[in-house]
Amino acid sequence: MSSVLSLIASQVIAQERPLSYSTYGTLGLIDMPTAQSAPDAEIATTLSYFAGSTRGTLSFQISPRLSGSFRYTKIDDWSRSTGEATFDRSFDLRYVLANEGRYHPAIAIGLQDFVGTGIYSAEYLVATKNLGTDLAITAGIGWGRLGSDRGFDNPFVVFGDQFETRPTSRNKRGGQIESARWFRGDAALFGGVSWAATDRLTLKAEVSSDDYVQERADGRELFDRDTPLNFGVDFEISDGAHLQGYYMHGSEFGVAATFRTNPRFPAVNGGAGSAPVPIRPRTAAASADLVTSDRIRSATQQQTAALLAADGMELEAMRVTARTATVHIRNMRYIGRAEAIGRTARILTQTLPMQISQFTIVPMENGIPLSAITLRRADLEELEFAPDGAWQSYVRADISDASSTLTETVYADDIYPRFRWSLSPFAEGSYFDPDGPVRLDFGLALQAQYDIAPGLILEGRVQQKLVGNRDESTRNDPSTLPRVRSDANIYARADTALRRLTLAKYGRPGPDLYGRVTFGYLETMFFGASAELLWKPVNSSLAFGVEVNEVRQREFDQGFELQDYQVTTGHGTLYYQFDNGLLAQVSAGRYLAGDWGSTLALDRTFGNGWRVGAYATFTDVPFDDFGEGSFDKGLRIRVPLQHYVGRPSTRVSSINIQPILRDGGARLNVNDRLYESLRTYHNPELRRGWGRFWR
Amino acid sequence: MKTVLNSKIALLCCLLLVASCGNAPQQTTTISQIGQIIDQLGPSEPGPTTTQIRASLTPEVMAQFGNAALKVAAIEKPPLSSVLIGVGQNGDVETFTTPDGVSFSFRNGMLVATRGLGADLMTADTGASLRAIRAGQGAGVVRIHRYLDGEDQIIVRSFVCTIRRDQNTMLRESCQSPSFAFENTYQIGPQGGIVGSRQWVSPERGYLSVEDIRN
Repeated sequence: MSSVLSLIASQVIAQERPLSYSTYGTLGLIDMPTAQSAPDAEIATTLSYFAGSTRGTLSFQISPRLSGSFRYTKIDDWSRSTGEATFDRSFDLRYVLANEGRYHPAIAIGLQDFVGTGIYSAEYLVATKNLGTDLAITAGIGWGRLGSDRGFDNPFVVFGDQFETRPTSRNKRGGQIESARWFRGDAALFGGVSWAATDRLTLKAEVSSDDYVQERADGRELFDRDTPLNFGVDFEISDGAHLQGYYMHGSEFGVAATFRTNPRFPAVNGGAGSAPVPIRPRTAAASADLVTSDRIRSATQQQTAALLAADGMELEAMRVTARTATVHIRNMRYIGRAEAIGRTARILTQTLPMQISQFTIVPMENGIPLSAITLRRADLEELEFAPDGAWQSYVRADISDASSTLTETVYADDIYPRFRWSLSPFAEGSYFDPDGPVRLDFGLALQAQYDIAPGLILEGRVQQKLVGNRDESTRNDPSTLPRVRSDANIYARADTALRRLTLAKYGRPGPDLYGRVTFGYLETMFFGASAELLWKPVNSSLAFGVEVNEVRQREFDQGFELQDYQVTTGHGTLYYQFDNGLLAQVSAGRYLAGDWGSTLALDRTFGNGWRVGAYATFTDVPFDDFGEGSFDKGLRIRVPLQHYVGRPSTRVSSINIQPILRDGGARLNVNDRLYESLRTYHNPELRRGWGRFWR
Repeated sequence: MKTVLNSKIALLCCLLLVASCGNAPQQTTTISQIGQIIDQLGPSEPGPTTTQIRASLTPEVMAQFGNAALKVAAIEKPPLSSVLIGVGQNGDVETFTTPDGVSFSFRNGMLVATRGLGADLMTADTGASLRAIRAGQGAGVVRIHRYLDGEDQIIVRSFVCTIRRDQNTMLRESCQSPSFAFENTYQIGPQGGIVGSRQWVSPERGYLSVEDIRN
């Protein structure tokens, strides 16, 4: 039997043998792409260096066939007059047209640097075939940069003469999609092989079709390209961490490091958080006076609060009638929301009198009820160990709007008013400034929150910088718009900064409606008032919100003073949460600089708290006035701590990559917008994560 | 573990947070979690063996547990042993927990759920296996396990099992699926119930060995 097991194990490893990334940080050989796909959702960060070119790339396998990459490049000695380096941002997309079959190869089409300034601009069609488990052979045809060595007349000329020549880029600011150049001009062939010598060691060789024309031009001459042949070796030093070395073009050595991670594979599936309290089934019914007695009611409430606290939750309020109980909880531990509901339900079977036959559990955030999950006690008893208990318990649960659940409820003693504070270190970064691509500040942040009454919160954050160099930036890029964001580097010079000081009121104006009004120092750069109203039925994938803000720009020192610039800004936003986790948001309205336009955002959300997304904003500011980058765009990743520690935690790190911070299309950063606070407590997300109900 | 390096990176990232203070609840949970990671990374003392645990369970100690039902258990991966204390009964399922909060639930002695191990057995449909064990033999018996995957979706693994009597008091249940194979053994007591067993939990955790303690 052990031989059977080991055979199975070796097959699994063979299938999961990791693929190698190129110097461009996409799956590939050395410089050349392949038609391979990474495992769905893989995130890979690659840093590579070769002959004066340093590339940092973040790649994401968006879907099983589609991958996207963002790259930040430094090329030395670029300016012919001063010898200064150039910094360039580029985006790639690759789509696998056909997966590999027994006889035919995988075929992929790719666009490289399709919205940048075009230094790396190239398109390709590529095929990769595995021979056995160890050897992969790749051949492709490239255009643009990938058609620059030994190029020949574009075969697409059969579709029209316009394919014969590649127009020069008309776009000096970057940021525009130049589809008029795609697949135009000379084409060239490339190819190569990769051989997985062992589970950790991969050897690669390729024939490159990139002539490095610009890098080798007069005045730059970064290296001698003696041959199109490149050789590389990839060694996986530990799971997900790769080091590569190259010998390129017969003259240069190169190096790269890649770190792979995958939101779908946490440290421990299901997490290793402690076991829940088991169900206490009812026995013969106890006497009826138990529930009506105030003393016993209060004891029950305290007991429930104590058990919830042990599970990382708080009892906010409770109402017990003859047969039903409604329990309002704050969940501070479980990103798997269904787990919080399931644990609360089990605790209630322990604490509530036997006659109570129905529980309604209401998760709360900022003092407002988000959804009401009603469970029959008999179902809980029956399904705790039922083989298909998760799905059956979902089907039997009633999930509905919670706007009226707070009537006649009894708040827990120590919930309002309550003061909480914390003092913790912080790190803050500024990126993509050519004078210093990475600048960091470290210091202490004092954060305090005073819950005055349900839904009424006074909150503030003060930061004291201890060390850092974000204040060294002296850039002053001209802007034709009000300088609503481009002075970020001046704001960063404040050593002691009042980041936020707000009074906020949250409420439920009616069924399916959520409201927020926030007043005060809303964010680093703006003071004012912000009001939001959101419509989101509990079981609807669709939501619609309106936000209006009247704000005035803050003084650079981030004290209490204000500057003169004042603006009314706001948006209508349509949200749609697809069942597969894709979250789409379309906003339209007026931005901070007074420009009108819309933002499109797409995120792939994972039930375990990960999130990877991108957004782009187009406003009535002409691309020329916007400046570098032409329009506002960015990437955002949220990384849950529990992925790495294997224990439940709601702590999430946000990584926002905004390649160019300009004044057009800028939005206010107000805290605790409504949709995010309730999204995961509503369907379809609650249903998607219901597998954790009995965890 | 699979992501030791990742954990180390996460640890470095989080070291900053250790110095946090305040009365906001999120902070404290993070600190305790970091303590746990440090425990995982550092060289850990080998825990007591099942024999040592059994020897320590004198009548006086068992009285301290309120004479609750007790078992001694050992998990294969990682190799850890503990006493199990009965904490609940729902129908014919008994739930036992270790002092540090890992629980095991048994239906008539057959493992139907674990919680807190990580890669937990969420549920096991052992009805057909139990009938075959009571009959003393069986072939083509279907057993269905459910687990959580990395995205918290329930995944179903089904096995086909053969049950045969090995010695008078020992039964073997050999199970196979396209991806996995395991063999559970059950020790039958004088009353015909399961008093000791070695049962497969999950690919990541291997087998659970468990034995009843009688006063």
